[in-house]
This record gives sequence, C-alpha cells and structure tokens, in this order.
Amino acid sequence: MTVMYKKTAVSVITAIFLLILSLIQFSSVKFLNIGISAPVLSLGLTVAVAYYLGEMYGFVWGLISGMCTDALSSSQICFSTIALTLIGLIGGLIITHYFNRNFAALSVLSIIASIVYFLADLIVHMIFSGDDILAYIGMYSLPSLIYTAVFGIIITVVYGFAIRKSRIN
Amino acid sequence: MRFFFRSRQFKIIAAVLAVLIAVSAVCVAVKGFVSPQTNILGSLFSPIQNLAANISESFNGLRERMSDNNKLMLENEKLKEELADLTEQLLEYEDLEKENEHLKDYLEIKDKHNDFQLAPAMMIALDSIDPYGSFTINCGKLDGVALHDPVITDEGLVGYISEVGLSFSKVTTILSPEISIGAYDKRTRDVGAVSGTISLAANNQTKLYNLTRNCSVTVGDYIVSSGGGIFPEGLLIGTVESVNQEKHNASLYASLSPAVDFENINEVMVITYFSGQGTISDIAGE
Repeated sequence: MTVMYKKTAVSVITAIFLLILSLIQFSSVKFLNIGISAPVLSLGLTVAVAYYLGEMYGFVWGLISGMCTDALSSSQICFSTIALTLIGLIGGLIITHYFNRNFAALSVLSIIASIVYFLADLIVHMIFSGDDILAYIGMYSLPSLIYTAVFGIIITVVYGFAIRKSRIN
Repeated sequence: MRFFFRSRQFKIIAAVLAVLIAVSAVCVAVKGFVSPQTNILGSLFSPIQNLAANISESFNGLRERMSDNNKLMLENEKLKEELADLTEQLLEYEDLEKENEHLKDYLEIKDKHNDFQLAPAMMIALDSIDPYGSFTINCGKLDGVALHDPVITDEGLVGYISEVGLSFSKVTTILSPEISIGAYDKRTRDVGAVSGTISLAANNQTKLYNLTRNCSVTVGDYIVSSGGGIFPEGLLIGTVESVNQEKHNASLYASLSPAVDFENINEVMVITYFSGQGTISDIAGE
C-alpha cells in the first residue's frame, strides 16, 4: 500500500531537517568527526526522503541537499549536487518498485547509497588529486562510508517519526 | 516502470541532470569558478553561520566569566556592589586585552612585511567532510579578497583562498594535496615543495618533498615559504618532525608539523596584496 503524506508539511519538515543537519555538518566545531572521517548527513537525509516519499521527492530533495552541501563545503565541481540527486532518484525508484519498506530494506538502501557516494568521491579524488589512493580509501573513504551508512539509518528513523503525523492514509 | 521513462517527469529530470553536468564541466574547466547556486546559497547561509559562530563564542566566554565571578564573590562577600562594578570593568578589560593581543600579533606581521595588505576574517564554518581541514571565512570579494590569496595567522601560513563568493570565501589548508608551496629550510637553505597527503593529514601534518639525497634537513628545522608565486617569502609553514626516503624515487621528504594549530583556528588574516604577488598562470608560464 502506498503511503501518502501532506506535501506542505513534509516539505517544511524536510527543510528544517536540512537546515539543522547542515549547521551540524558545517559548524565551527567537529562534533561528529572520528579522526578525519565524518558522516555525510545530507546523504542520510536524501536516503530518508527517498525511502519514505519515493523517487520524485528523493530527486528534488537530493538536488536541494546536494546544492547546499556543495555551497557549504570545499567541493568545486557540483559533485554532491549530482551524486545526491541521482541517489535520491534511483533510491526512491528501487524502494518504490522493488522493495518493501522495512528495516532491512532501509539498511541496504543506506549502505548502497553510501557506497555509491564514496565511490564517486574516490573517482573525483583520483582525477583531481595526486594523493595516495590506497591511503585515502583506508583512512578516509571506508570509515566515512560506514559512518555515513549508520547515520543514514538513524536519520531515516528520526525523519520517519517526524513525518508520521503528516500521513494522509 | 517503463511508463516512468516515457513520462514528462522523466524528461524534466533528464533536462535538470544535463544542466547540472554542464555546470560541473564549466566548474572543472574554470578552476575556482563558483556556480551561481553556490554563490547564492553561500551568501544566504554565511549570515546564519556567522550568527552560530558568534553565539557559541559568547557562550564560551560567559561560562569562563561566571567561573571568575563565583571566585571573586566568595572572596569579597561584604563588597558585593563594588565587586559587581569591578567585575564588569574586568570583563570589558579582558575583551579589550584579547582584541589588543590579537591586533599586536598582526601588527608584528605588518612591521616585518610592510607591503602586506591584510583583510581580517573569522572562520564561520568547518568542512567536516573534507579530510584536509578546509573551512569557510566571512569575507569575500566585497572585502577585497581574490582567488589564491594567501591566508595566515600570527603563528604562520594557513593556506590559500580556493573559492571566493561575495561575502564568504573557502580556504584550502596546507594539509591538502591541492596546494603546492615552494619552501626552504631556514637553517640549511635546502629547497623543496610543501603539499599534503591523506596519511600525514590524518596526523595533522604536511609534507616537504623533492629534497635531494644530500640535503641537511633535520628534525626541528623551520620551513618557510620561498616566495615568487602566490605566497610571499618568509611565511613560517612548520617544523620538521621526521625525514624519510620516498617510496618510488631516490629523493627524500620531510613530514612537517604545521606552525598553525588547525584544531583551534578561529581568526585569520587574508593577504590581499603583497609586493611581487603572482598568479597560478604566472607560475605555469602561460
């Protein structure tokens, strides 16, 4: 059964989530870092929106989250915008057409989204930087991937509670 | 699902993705180009980030002041009114003193380099996704900041401006492999280049490479910028922690502990002009 939500209410809730997560991610204090690895909170929000609201909302909020991440981070090539837009769209399509909405599906979606994001990040890093790739994977990509996947699940669960009251059916 | 790919919605999605890819291509082709949406969103977010940074700094100061207040009140119970006046004066003095110390440190820099034009700035956001410690400051084109302007503190070189918006800029630090600084050992005059690597950045260090096998660089030596490009000469970069052999060639490299404490960085100065300032294209010989 497809669950419907009130559009305005979920849009406002999602915007508030995005603002809070952006302020946490880019504050002047590294709240969440373990060494140099950090979770990408905007990816967690994109997974949450794609999981609950499907591909179109996943596409739109992936685009907005990605643009905010690019605006606030040191990224120079709209990387997060493209990555999160595609993750929101494809994640939403997969959840809507091929999976039931349960915790296992959420975990798989979060892990796959993190793998896709950090694989793309690694490719961009290989192209634009002459750094040691194996060290980059071992010290940054892999820990951040796991960290982001865990936060993706947490953010999705919290987001689900937040939009629960906006359900129509 | 087949109908989705034939639908109008999918065509709109494909058009938006094509525009994004085109903007990305422009960003790649024109280094330092700030896309319109980044400029708009960065300008909208920077006041909020400014406010958040000011609030957290105020709370830190308030906590310290409350602790001092308690000590003075316990010691001088009978003179509560006088103590309150004295405390208020003390608080104002501490703020002025802190500002004075900060300005004195930069006056020393100006005295040593009287050709520097400096723009003060405050860090308003730290990019926790970037493993090389880049951050955003609260000044941009409107404050005279330009792309590749060096960024310093009273302790030493921080990095350079990698993106400039109207009222904000992004700083890439010396821990990043994107940066490459001509440098030399102040004691031995051995020449090399400073750039970051992920393994050293994890330990808050950077790398001085291209050292010859017969160089005399040792632990504890000070490394400064050699000038002649986008960085002026004589800026302290760091101190040598160890000297090692490169894996893939016969040269040596030194791991440097930066002069700047990147964990506690807050206020910086951007060198908007110095005598002999070059550009990236000047260095590339274009």
